[in-house]
Amino acid sequence: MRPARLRAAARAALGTVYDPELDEPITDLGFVSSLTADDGHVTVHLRLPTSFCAPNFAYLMASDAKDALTALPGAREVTVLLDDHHDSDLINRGLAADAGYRGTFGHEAEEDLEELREIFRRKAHAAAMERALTTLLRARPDLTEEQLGDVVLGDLPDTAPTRALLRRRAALGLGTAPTDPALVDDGGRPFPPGEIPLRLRFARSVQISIDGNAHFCRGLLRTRYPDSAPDQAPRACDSGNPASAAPAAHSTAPARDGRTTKEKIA
Amino acid sequence: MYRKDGENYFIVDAHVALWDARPENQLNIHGKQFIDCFYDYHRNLSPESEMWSYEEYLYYGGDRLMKDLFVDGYVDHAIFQPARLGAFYRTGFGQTEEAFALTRKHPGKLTYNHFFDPRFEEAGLRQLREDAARFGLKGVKLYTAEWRGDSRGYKLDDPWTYRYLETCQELGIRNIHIHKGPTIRPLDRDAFDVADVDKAATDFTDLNFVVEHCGLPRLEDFCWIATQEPNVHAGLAVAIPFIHTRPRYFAQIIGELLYWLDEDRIQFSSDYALWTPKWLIERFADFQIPEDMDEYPQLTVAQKKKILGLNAAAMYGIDVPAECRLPEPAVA
Repeated sequence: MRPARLRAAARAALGTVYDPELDEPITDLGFVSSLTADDGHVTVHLRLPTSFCAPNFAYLMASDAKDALTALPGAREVTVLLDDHHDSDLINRGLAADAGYRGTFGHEAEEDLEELREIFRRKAHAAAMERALTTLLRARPDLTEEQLGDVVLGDLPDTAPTRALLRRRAALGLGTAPTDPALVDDGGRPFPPGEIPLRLRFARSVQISIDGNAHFCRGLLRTRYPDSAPDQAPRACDSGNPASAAPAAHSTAPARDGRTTKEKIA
Repeated sequence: MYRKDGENYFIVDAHVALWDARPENQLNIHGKQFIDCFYDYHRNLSPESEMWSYEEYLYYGGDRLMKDLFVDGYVDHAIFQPARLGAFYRTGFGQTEEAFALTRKHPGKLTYNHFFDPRFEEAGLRQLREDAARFGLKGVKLYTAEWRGDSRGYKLDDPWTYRYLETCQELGIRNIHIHKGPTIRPLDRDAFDVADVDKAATDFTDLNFVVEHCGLPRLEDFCWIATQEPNVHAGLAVAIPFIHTRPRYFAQIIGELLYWLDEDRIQFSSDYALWTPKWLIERFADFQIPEDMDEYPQLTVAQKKKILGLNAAAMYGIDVPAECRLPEPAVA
């Protein structure tokens, strides 16, 4: 493969690597600081917003990047290096040796990072569900929060938030048929009618948290590496949701009776 | 005290530090990485006019602290919440002796909270008893991502942590401030998850658990446990400076906290010297939820007074002058 073609393929492959916490490709976040492809040798340097970004997520992104690049037909030798992190030496040694998660972190690793990935797939789904349903509520003032329990995927307009929701559902192994209910728990089950406003509200706090972190991490990366600004793409999934405003305001309140919420809605 | 529009606000800054991150106190590269990370937080979220030079930021000393908090910063009382970071700094990051001496020199102005580390097991328990007696501890600050030997973190529901919390109960240390960091054992888990705080809060109902930076970057996990555990509180460190860079995001944070918790369980913290309190207090007193964000009710003056000082004053038994108190609720 010619260097330019390999480079383009490598760039595209890195676009499939996500930051699990921020639910965005590392290329859009500006985490790829350099990429060279020459005679089948692909070398990538990654950078993060701080030295103290969580090492488990840092490792996930770096090892996913190496896997994605190694799968390219024209890549004979792949080197992925994480720069300026408190665990750079540890992670870079592990990547070079293809030591895997346990081989890299030794006694600090118990099994694998699959449960961690799953937790963040669930969060990404909750946030996408909130965006899609809040967009629907805004477009249809006749619709109340309580009625969201009857909304199926086929009721959602073909917009970016809906397509994002379908992708997150597929990633989590949930159904994507037009007849499937839209407001569901992590296992795809609808909520009891009395819980719907509370569950939407909780999904909103997930969305605020992830979007807030994504903005902060972008900003910190630019502060740390001023030359990273042109590499960052605007965050796509919240662009249609500037205020995150919900039309049905103040309609819900969490249980105030001390410790009973957990029993009631667990 | 801060006065604005005829209102008097009693100010408790519930999270301040006196640190020394100068190169001569750094043990290794991580000491530099840690303070550089703090400095980037400072540069990223501060208004231009409030920005410090890197040299000032490495070490500022007690006189500067007193001026920034009490002369320029409207603060009536501040609480030290030191992080030890013994694996990164020779004498630790938070300067125990200097901060405690300052507390004694300015009675009534400062409270010194100390730290414990459950991985010191029996020896640490003895130390905790000595520290409680020496410092008159009402609270402790726990950084769960503290590195020690080949361990880089612990949880609040570890058996040894429970022994320490039992000792806190016995010694009258009622306020447990928790600061989550990026490392935990095993690394399989999310280090920022607050499920361990949930368990400890359920098992130690007479202790207050103040989760610093309101659980960020896991605001949602924090809100979910705090709505169910009445002894879990939110510290606004790191969250409040967004009032400048991203006021709509700050509106969401404060709106969510008021929704899932209540106005009695949120505490102002500048996280000094990450940020200075003056501008944060001025901005917060003036802050209002943007009108188009009508999923959140407007903030009231009483809520702001509680958050800026009355809540932490109640938790720490700090006397509030009559002109700063809220009217007693009418008895039904």
